[in-house]
Amino acid sequence: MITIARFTFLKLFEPAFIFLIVFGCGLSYITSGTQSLDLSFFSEMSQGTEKGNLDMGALILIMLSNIIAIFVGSTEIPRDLNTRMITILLSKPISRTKYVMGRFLGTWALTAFLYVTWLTILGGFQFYNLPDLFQFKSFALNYLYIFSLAPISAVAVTVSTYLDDVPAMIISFLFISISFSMGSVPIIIKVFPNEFANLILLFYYLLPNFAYLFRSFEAFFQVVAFLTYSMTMSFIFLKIGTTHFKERDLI
Amino acid sequence: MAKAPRKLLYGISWILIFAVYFSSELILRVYYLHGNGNSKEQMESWANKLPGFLTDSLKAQQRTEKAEKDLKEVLKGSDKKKIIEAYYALAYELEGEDQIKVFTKLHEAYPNDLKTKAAFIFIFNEDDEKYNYDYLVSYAEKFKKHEQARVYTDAWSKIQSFSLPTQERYLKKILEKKYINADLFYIYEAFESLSFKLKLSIEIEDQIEALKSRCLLELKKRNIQEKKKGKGKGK
Repeated sequence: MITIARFTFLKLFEPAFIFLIVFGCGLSYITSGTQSLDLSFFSEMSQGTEKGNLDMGALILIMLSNIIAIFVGSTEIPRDLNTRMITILLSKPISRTKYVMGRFLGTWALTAFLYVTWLTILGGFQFYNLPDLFQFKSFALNYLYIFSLAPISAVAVTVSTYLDDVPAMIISFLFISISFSMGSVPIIIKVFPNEFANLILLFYYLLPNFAYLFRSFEAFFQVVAFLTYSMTMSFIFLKIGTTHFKERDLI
Repeated sequence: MAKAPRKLLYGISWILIFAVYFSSELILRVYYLHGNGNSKEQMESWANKLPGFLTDSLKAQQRTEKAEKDLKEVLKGSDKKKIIEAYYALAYELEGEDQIKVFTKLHEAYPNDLKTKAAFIFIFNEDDEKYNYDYLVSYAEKFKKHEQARVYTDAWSKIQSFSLPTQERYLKKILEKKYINADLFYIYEAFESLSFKLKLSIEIEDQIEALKSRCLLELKKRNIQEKKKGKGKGK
């Protein structure tokens, strides 16, 4: 499983990913100081208050990492299937479940590494630009968002066990976008209470709410809930993916 | 024998996973909705930023519920002006049959009040058993001559889509009453083409022309008065 994960992680040394690291560093610099980027919707969405930890720069970096997680997670398994690499890998003493888990862990590790690198550089720039305003504890909380990359990677890997790379990418992207929009449902129910609230909630529970994974942390319990929510969600998706992959035809 | 407890354990572990999943969702939802600085106003401002297709129907429903509540409240009293206003407020939030029902209720509640004219015009229909052309005539008769002219003027918006015989009855009624009103100028203008369509006599056409000219004069007078008023206000 670790070997499979390592295969995915080593994509990091491909030219495209080196370019991405450089691009992310540039983005960290742009969003690190007092530059005025008009992204008010995102700042409201992330609830980037003075007390909160999630600032614009960190949010943009998480979003970028998510997109990469979708691309990597959706392409690895279909590529192995198309190139018949899967027959070589599964001829080793490794189960199909462990293979899928390895691809998931690799995707998660790769995107987490990118995110951590960019975030550290962002922190460096922020500290350099505004040393008096920089809060270490608040900034350090941003590292927890690597756990928000797990469900995204799990969705992409699970979808890729069903579909070829491009359709998997599109479906994963659509699924995650719709799940992200689920964040509006609790607001709608609260602001416009109506008799259909239960019906809307039923629909709401059919999809995970990714909007919760990109919010500023306010309390310890929220952090715990964030970790358990992202981990259980990843587990549920991976279970769907591994169950299907165990039964599917590999040709 | 060992398979049964294993299955049970498997089932329990899944129940636990889902219990953790839903309870953590609940905690996150509570922080999402009631966390620091999440006032009702902020929630509303977020909700207003959501795409229209998600919130329009809910906003409309909320407005309708408020209008219904307001009407119920006002009906407890006897302030006619407020009751009529509340009926209109509710009716304009509704659509189709519901809207017609509210307008009918309003007009039935105050059939002799000119303020329910708009409600009547809305429900007024050529094929309606009660609120048809004959009812329009009897309704207009309840008011003074200049008010009658206003009722007929407003009714034209509906009548122009009615059948030609009904339009002819309307035209002849107006000509018989010889209403002179600035607003009727455009209706007399429409009558010119209508009389051509209906192949009416030259006498009727002349009558229309004469009334139209007098209405034009009224219209000019009104325009001058409005301009004077405007200048007065400007000073």
